[in-house]
Amino acid sequence: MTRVTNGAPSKNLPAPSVVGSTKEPSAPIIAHLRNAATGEIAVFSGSEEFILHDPGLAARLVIATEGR
Amino acid sequence: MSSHREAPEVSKDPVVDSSDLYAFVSPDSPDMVTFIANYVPLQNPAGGPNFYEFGDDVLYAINIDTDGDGEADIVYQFTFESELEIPSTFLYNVGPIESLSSANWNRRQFYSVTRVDNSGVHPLGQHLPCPPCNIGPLSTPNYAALAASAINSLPGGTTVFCGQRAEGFYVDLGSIFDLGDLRPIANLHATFGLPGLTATPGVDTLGSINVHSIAIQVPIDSLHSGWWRRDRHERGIIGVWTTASRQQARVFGGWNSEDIWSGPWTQRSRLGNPLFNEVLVPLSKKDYWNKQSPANDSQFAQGVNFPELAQLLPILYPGAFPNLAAFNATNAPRADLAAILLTGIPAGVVSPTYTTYTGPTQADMLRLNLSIPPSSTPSRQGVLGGDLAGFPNGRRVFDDVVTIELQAIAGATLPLVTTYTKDAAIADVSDGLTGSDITYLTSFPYLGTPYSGFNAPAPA
Repeated sequence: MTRVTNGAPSKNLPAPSVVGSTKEPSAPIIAHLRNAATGEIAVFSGSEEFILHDPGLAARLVIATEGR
Repeated sequence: MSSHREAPEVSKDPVVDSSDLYAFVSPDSPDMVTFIANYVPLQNPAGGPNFYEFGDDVLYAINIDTDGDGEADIVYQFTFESELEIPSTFLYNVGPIESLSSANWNRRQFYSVTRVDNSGVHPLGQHLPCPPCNIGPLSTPNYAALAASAINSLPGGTTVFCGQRAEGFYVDLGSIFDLGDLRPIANLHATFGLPGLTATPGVDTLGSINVHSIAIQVPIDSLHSGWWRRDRHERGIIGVWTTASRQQARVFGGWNSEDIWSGPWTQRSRLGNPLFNEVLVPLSKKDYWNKQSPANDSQFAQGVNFPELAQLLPILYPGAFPNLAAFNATNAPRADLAAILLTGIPAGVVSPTYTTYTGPTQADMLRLNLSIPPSSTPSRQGVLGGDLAGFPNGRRVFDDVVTIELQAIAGATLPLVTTYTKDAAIADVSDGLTGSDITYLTSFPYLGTPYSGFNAPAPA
């Protein structure tokens, strides 16, 4: 799994995050099947994105959406 | 204008729509610099019961480049959080709101502010209150004092305010978007076979309109960078732009679930120089432009070097701009506009010492030379009016950026970089407004008290 770092605002600053919030961080996880053929799945959690390459999981997700 | 609803996506998402950005050495405190970023534009003051507020799901930022590469070296981040005190009522308030802790106030908003720089992430303030919107004499009596109580002093000499303000920008949108039909010179406009028009004074479309402002005042010393030349009393030149970002993934809840959002913050809007995206970027690229970093702005240099509006003016006003038409025919790039908007103006162009030049990197940033003190006799025409403390050296709340930029595009600044005689009509290129009917504050946060819903528009 690869952590994506394209959210950084600048060359050498920490990535943007809600560092000042008084709200307890809720951390839903959202997955986006980007490419069923390669098994590329983007997983969003908190203020980060992770990339999975799991053709087996991708295939199961596709099957699930087809109701099989 | 100056960036109100300037791109298709932000026009449908007002809480991320950055409408104006100001940056200036504070006139009442010249060791401080003030930044103001406006969002949620074009507010009808009476727009209740759900009055205006910032987006709880948006990360707002004021970005500062101190070394001229178009990337942020210092970022002030703002996040907001709304709270309901009386969930059983449909009302914004159930009685007069006479203090920020009033039990009569139902829907409130709080914010956090954080500075991010090369030394790390520094929370400056948490759960700071925004004032309510200005509802009317019964709901928000003595509004000016109430709003002033929401000015927060933070450690390190920083002062911050987030909340509703009177729109300080003035523009005749109705004339500009009617095929550039500037009312003061409407009699010169092409008629396309339709009946001729008569010259009339401008109309301030934004009169009696409110906006939401993020205002922060920081010591100039806190913007120190490696090239700071204190020994030479040079404070340096900064480039400033504002951004609003949303998390990448969102799932709208169904009948029994709430919305959720997650993932990295992704930029949805930005604003540096007024009118840049509005006037110089084609409609097909405006949403794309909003997602870019200033460091990548060389890709938009074509729109600056060969602005569409400069080509149109001689067509819209036949015979009024012969010198501009002749210059256009040479296909020479507009080096004056490129300097003003993309690199800053090198020393020796306006005066031997005046400069906003930050280096060769082409980046749309609002550049501010911190060594230039506030003017004791300011001109709303800024540098065009001989006032070096005004736009395009930063931007003050009263600067007439519409007229300045219209005249610059019409050729007023070409003589700075080439042999060129300005067309006589340039003096009349304006939307005809002076901003004289707008009340600004003489101290932070400078933008005036917002119009109340009860009194705007004014009763007959």
